[in-house]
Order: sequence, then structure tokens, then C-alpha cells
Amino acid sequence: MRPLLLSILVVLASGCEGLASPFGSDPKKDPKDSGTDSVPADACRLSRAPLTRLNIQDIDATLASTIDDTVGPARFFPADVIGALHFDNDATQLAIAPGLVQGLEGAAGAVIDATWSKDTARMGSSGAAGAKFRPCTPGGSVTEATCAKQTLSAFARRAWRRPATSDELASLVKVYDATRADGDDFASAVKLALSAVLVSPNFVLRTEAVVPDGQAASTFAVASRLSYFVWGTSPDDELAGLADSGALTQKAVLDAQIARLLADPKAAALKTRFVAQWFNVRNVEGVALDAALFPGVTKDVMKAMQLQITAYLDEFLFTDKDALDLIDAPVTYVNGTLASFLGLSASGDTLTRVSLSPGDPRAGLLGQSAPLVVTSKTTKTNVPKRGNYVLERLLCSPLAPPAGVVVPPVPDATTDQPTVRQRLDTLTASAACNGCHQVLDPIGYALEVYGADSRLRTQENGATIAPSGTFGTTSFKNATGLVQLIKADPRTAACMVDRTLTYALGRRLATDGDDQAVLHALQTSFSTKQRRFQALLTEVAGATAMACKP
Amino acid sequence: MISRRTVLRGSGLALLPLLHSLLPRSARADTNSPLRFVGMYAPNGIVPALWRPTAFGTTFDLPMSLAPLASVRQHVNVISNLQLGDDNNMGSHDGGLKVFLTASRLDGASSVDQVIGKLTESKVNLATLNLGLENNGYYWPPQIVANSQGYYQAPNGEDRQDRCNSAQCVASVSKGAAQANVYHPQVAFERLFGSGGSSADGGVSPAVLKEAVRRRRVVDAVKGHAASLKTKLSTADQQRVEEYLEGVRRIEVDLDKMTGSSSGPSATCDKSTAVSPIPVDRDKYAKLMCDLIVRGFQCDATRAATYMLGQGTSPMSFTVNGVAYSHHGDASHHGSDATKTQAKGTIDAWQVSIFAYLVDQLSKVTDADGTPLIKRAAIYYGSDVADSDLHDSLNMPVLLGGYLGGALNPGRHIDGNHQHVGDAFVTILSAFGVTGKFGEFGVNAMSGL
Repeated sequence: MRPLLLSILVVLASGCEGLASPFGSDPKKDPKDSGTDSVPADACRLSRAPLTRLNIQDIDATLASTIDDTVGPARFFPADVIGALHFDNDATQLAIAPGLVQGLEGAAGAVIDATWSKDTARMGSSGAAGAKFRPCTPGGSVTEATCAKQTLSAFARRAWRRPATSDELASLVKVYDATRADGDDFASAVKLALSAVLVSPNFVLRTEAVVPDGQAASTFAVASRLSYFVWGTSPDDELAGLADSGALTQKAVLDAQIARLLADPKAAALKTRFVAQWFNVRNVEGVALDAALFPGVTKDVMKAMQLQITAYLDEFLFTDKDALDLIDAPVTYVNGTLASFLGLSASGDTLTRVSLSPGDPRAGLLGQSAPLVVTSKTTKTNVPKRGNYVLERLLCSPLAPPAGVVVPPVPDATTDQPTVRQRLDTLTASAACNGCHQVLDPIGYALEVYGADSRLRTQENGATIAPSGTFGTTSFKNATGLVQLIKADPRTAACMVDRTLTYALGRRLATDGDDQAVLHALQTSFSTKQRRFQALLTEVAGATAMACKP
Repeated sequence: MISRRTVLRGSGLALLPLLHSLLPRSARADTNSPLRFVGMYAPNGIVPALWRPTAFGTTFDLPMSLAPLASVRQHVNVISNLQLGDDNNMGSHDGGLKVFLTASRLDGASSVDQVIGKLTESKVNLATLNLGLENNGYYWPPQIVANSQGYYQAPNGEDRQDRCNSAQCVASVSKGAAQANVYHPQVAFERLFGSGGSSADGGVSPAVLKEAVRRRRVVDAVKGHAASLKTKLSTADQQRVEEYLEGVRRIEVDLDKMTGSSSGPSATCDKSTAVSPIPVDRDKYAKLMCDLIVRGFQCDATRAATYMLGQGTSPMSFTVNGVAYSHHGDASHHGSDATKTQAKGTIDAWQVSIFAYLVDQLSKVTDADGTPLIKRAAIYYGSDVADSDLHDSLNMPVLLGGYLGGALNPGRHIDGNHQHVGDAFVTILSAFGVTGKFGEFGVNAMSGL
């Protein structure tokens, strides 16, 4: 325990303690912090990501939440690239393709038009108070120029997640003025200037996080980081208001906001985006298993697999349970369709929670269908890929991909070598291959009792599957034994924290320095609190909100 | 309702008739005899014994994989003994793909099509047409299903997004961002021809001029935002703003085209007949994409195209003699198994047949002055590795179709004599008026072409 305690103390001494109590409730406060609620300027320990941009989903979500947009233009823009972090918010992958800028320029007018019309309808039924987008209408003491400026300022504040500078606002007003002077009516001129807000680099780039090196994160950056992490979209009015007033960096206020965001229905983004990408189960329905080889595979079955993994992960990550139990919990979820596919008993269209005996092969994360299916080819299992899944996504211990080596395919089954285990062991016997494959393949061999369609099997090409092997230096008899070793491995719980912090930051963690200090402190707290995932999310939100070092 | 087309107006889909600007261009790329380029990528290398002719010169044999060239061989050079880089391992598939059209291993290097696209963008609707047949992978994008041919399409036909997942695209924009592929024929059509209507007189209406003025106001404002942002950023972060500004620059080029006067005779061509969604039959799909390239060239809607017949390490499924083979896993790594080797040779022959189809179409379709397009085009065909089972890169499979306005002299099997593939790009680019080195490995114009 001593090293872990020490790392907490290191973190506390350097000032992170002020942040939303991310590192437990140690009563020893740094004396210099006493008597103030404010987070000290040196509280931010984590480096910010490189200047990043909204990803495709962020763009549509931000438009939806700021102006009720239903066009969703970004789904037609060039798709984001997913890199080795497995997350679509990885700053190093989010280049700005010309098609993205052209797309925004092409779509902005239509998006603004649609929202303007909806607001006009709202104002018709309930007056100016009903408007979400137009704070004023010209008339009486409100001149057109005043109303235009007010409208642009308000929209820029929301779309850019920070107030426009006076120069920026002037440039928007100039678009309005020139267009109005050119004979367009008020609405047409304002709408054009509003569209410039969306075409601006300040919309697609996260410029609210830009601060000179060495300075604390602005309250706008804090609000935006919290909001994109937990909700996958921009801050709402309440959060934005606290950024405006500066109150957001007060510890109590920040804590309350983190709690509010996590309790909001919009926090479902953590499930559909973060957790689903973490476990690579975002698109189980899209897995095109070969129906000729796997009779009974239908769209409904694939859809049920999606529902199953979602319900399963929700139970351990989004209710008050030990998150580590998701590795081996004797629980599964099936509806009638999936039950008959897997040979379980349940009926009806809705999911049923089924309690299993400990050691049942359908227990645990790797007993659920989705992780097995997404780590298979469409025609057969893929032993190294399943091994990689466990190493990368559960243990955060990825192996380097083979370099400078021709990777041959596994030969087809023969009478002498009916099982993939025999053939792959032969193929990877050389030292060049064996270094990695002796780590990877035993994991996949244990999981060979699940076919590419996730159904249980005992034989491959007429030969009995041999699931025993070693995990590290410890031997196991079968998949259940392997799963127990994975659960007992300290890397597993630590990896949950690692993945969460990585997603929240949108960048790879450094292998030393403050990243590791913060990571270790969060891991210690996670362990102390019996691995409650909601508490982890709270602490990670607090720790990352202030990321401000260059 | 807002149509998707309205939404997409800016992403290369000019809603306007094809118009030409008056900007000066190099003489050899002028409107009356414009040169064109296609970079065609065939995944997973080849089987040398089934590919390489034994004789050089004009009377060479066509082994199994090249057999589809028979009817167009007079328009094609087969080039052997060309190397991709300086050693025999350019980083396997991923490394080879990166060098394929850039002749460079460096990040941020431009591909040939992008260089030509930038030269010609003011003349055409679409600077480059970047096509792909395979929608980048097994589990992505959302809502994909495999059809019987082993490629993927959205069940509801609505997935029309450009994709470049895992960076498996051959075209790269110099400022760092990869150019994603279009894989939906209708999207390609809209990019090329916009709404499909072209005005008879070529004049610019007051409404169009006014719209351009409005859009320029927006562009000017956001350029100001970018300039002010750059002053607050580190050098590394400024790169992001540069990428953004490249997109803005392309919008400005579009605006110039909107308001430029129409000059010269527009080619007579079909800009209005719509194309089908992705055909289920792969052969039809592949040829439809060729047809789009040909129409794009004929209408002078683009002058540079890339076309990937599959992604890098393509797992596309092919059935040969009743057996299904995953292209990369089963066929390309044949391990000298006779049946699998034949399967790979057969797959390569199919890929070459699509190249041959494109060459054939370009030889039948003419420019407005009656010259066949093939006389003014270069169609480069190659892969990321040479021998499919070895991943070597010293004797790359290269086909070069077309005459490129006289710069190329096709109809032969040429001994490349250890020149670099990039040297062929130097020759091609010099025909477009770009002289000097290209990338890391394009040093001298190739001799013998």
C-alpha cells in the first residue's frame, strides 16, 4: 500500500486536491488552499490535447443542442478516422479535410434557415419568450442594427462555446451590414451572418480551450471539456452561465455541475460513445456474419446481440456495482430471438436478465455475444484478434504490431491439423513470431469454445477444442479459468481508469510525468471505492476539466 | 424540407453550370487539349509468374493476369523492373500504400492527382475525383451488410459518406489531411456535375453573382477569424488552422468558377443522365465507376482521378472455380499453393480487366475536337507491393495506359531497368507543366516511355 499512498500525497501536495475532490476525501488539506473555494491556478496538472476539432458526431450534436438542428449535416461529411486509441475523439487523428470545411460552408445556410423558421413559428405561438435562437425582433426601441448584433453575439457564444471577441463580433456584424446595405431584408442579412458563425474556425475547432502557454484553463474550456466528455455536446445554458460568471472554477460549483451533468439523460453519450467504443460494440448490428456458414444468423439476432451487450455493460458501469465484476459476472441478457439462437430459455421481444451459475460459459463479458463476434472474421474465429482484444481493451497492454515480417494466413485445416491451435502453433513456431503469439494466442485458444457467431462449440473440424493454456506464467484450464486470471490481474481495474482518462482527454497518455501521477491517483481512488464507475467518471471529469498545460 | 443536395452544396457539389475561369494556365493544359490523369490502385500485389511477359518490345506475350489487355494493348505500356523505393521492403502494405501515388514516405506529401488537381482546379468542377470500390472494412461504417460479392453497402442505400478509415486512401492533400474516397456512384456524379443542368448560353445570372458575393462575405469573415486565431497558437496547433484554410481556399476557387465567364466551346457530353446507386454486381459497379471517370473527363468536369479497386490488404471475397477466397488472406498469401496461386492470378486478371475497360472507353470517347480521350490521358495502374506472397517492392507491377498528348508512347513491354516508380510520375507531371523532382523517389523523368 505504501507506494500508492505516496502517490496520492504527491498529487495532493502539488495542488490537485482542489479539483472536485478527484482523489478521495483525504482530510489533510494543503494549508495554502484553506479559506478559499477557488481552484488555484496551478491546479491543472494535465496537458491539454493538441488543438482539436469537433468530430463528426460532435458537430451534429452541437448543432442539435445549441439550435435544435435536425438537419444533421455532418453525417455527409468525410468520416472521422479511428486510430490506435480506438476513440473517435483522438486529437491526433482529427485532421481537417477540405471536404469538412466545404461541407460546413455548404450546409450552414440550410441549417440556419431551418432553425430560423422554427423559431419564427415558436415566436408566433408564444412571443419572444418562446424563441431559442432569436433574442429580439426589430421594432420600437430595438433597432435592426442592435437586434442583429445581439442575435449574432448570442449565437456565437453558444456555437463557439465562448464569447466572441469584439473583433470577431465586428466581423460578423460587417457581414450583416454589407448584406443589408445590398438590399437583402433584415432576416436574410442576419441569417447570412449567422451562417458565418458555423463556417468559422471557431465553431469546428475547439478554440475555447486556447490559452497562452502556462496560463490556467479558461472557464469556457472547463465547461466545454466537461460537457463534451459527459454529454458529447456543447454546454447548456446553465453551464455556460457559470463559465461566463467565472463561478465554475469554484470547487463546490464544479462538483455540483459534474454531478448534474452525470445525472442528466444526455450523459447517455458516455454509454453510446465512450463505453461502446472502448469495448468495440458500437456497431454489432453491422457485423456481416456469413449466413451460409452460420445458420440462424439474422438481423434480429445481431440486433439482440447489440441490446445484450448494452444492457450487460450498463449493469456494471452505470448502476452502483463493482465495475470489475463485469469481467466474470454470472449474468446475461437475452430476448426470445437471442435465447433460441444461443440455446438459452427466454421468450418475447424484450430483454430478460438471466442469472447463471458461476462458471457458466455464457457468464462474464467474454461470454456475451458481441465481444466474440466483433473479434471474429465473418467466416471464422480469429485467435490473435481475440487475444488482442483482451490485451488492448481489458488490460491496456497492447503488443506492437508485427514489423518487417510477412504475416502469412493460417493454413486451411488438414486431416493432421484440424484445429486452428495446431496450425497456428506450427505457423508461429519461429522466434520472430513466437514472442508475441505465445502471449496472444492462448487467450484466443481458450475462447475457441465460442464460434465466430458466439455460439458454444466443443469441436473444430471434428477434433475436440483444447482450451487450456497460460496467461502470463499462470496456467488455466479453460475460458472460465482464463477469465478469473484476467479479473485478478491488477492491470484490469487499472485499465478501466486508463481508458476513461484517455477518452476524457482525447489523447494518448504520456508514459511518465503528471499524466502517470494523475492516473495512479485515480486508480488508487477507484480501488478504494470498490471500483464504482460513476465515482470514477466524476473524478476523471474533475481532473480533466482543468487540463491546461501546453 | 431541406434536401441533402442543398446541405452538400459546398462539398464540391456546385449547383451551377460548368464554367471556366479566365485564369492563365500552362499551354499544354489548356481548355482545347486538356491532359488528364488516372491513378488506379489494385490491392495485394501480383503473382509474378502469371503477370510478367517474357519478351520486351512491341510483340510481348500476355500471361494470365494480363490477358484482358489483349484488345487494348496498343494503348498500354507494361513496365517491369521498376522499384517503389530504395530497398526491397517499403513497409509492406501500409508503407507501400503511402508511397503509391506520393513517391514519398513522408507525412504531408502530396499525391500526383492532388498536384494535378491544384493546377487544373480553376478549369473544372471538381479538382480531383477520388473513387473507391470497397467501403473500408468489415465493421465500419455503421449499418453495413455484406452482399454476396463481399463488399458492403448500406441496407437502406443512404450511407453516402466519403471514407478513409485507417488512412487507407491513396490520395493525400499536402497540408496533412488524407483525401477520403467517394464510393457511391451517385455522390460521384453529383460532385462532377452538380444538379446536372447546364445553362445553354454559359452566362452568369445576376442571382448567381449575388449568391457569390454573399458567400464571399462569409469567407472573408472566417478568414479573419483564422488569421487572428493563428497568432494565439503554437506552431503545431497552427497546422490545424492551415488545414482549415486549405478548405476555405477551395471554396474560393469554387466561387471564382461561379462568377467567371464561360470561355471556349464546352465539350458536348452527357451531364444529365443520372447514374444508379451501387450495383450489386461488382463487375458492373467497377465499370460504372470507370464510366464516371470517362464522363468527368469528357465534360471537362475533372482532370485528375484516383480509383482504388479495393482498400489496402483488401479482404474482398472472390469466387474462383466455386471456391470463395478472401483476396488478401486466402489468395494473395497463397504460400505457393497451386490452386490459391491460380486464384490470385484470376483476381488480378479481373482487376486488369477493369483497367482495360477504362482504357477502352477512353479510346472510344472523344473530346469536343474529335480527339479520343486516350490521346490526352495517362492511366497509371499499380499496387502497394510486388509479389503478393512476399511484400517485396523492387519489381512493381506497373501498367501505364494512354498517350498524354504525345508524352507517352504506348504499346510496349518496357524494361524499367531499376528506375523508380516515382520517375514515371516526373514524366507525367512534366507533361502537365510541373518540372523537377517529385516526392522522395521521383528524381528524373523516366527514360524509355
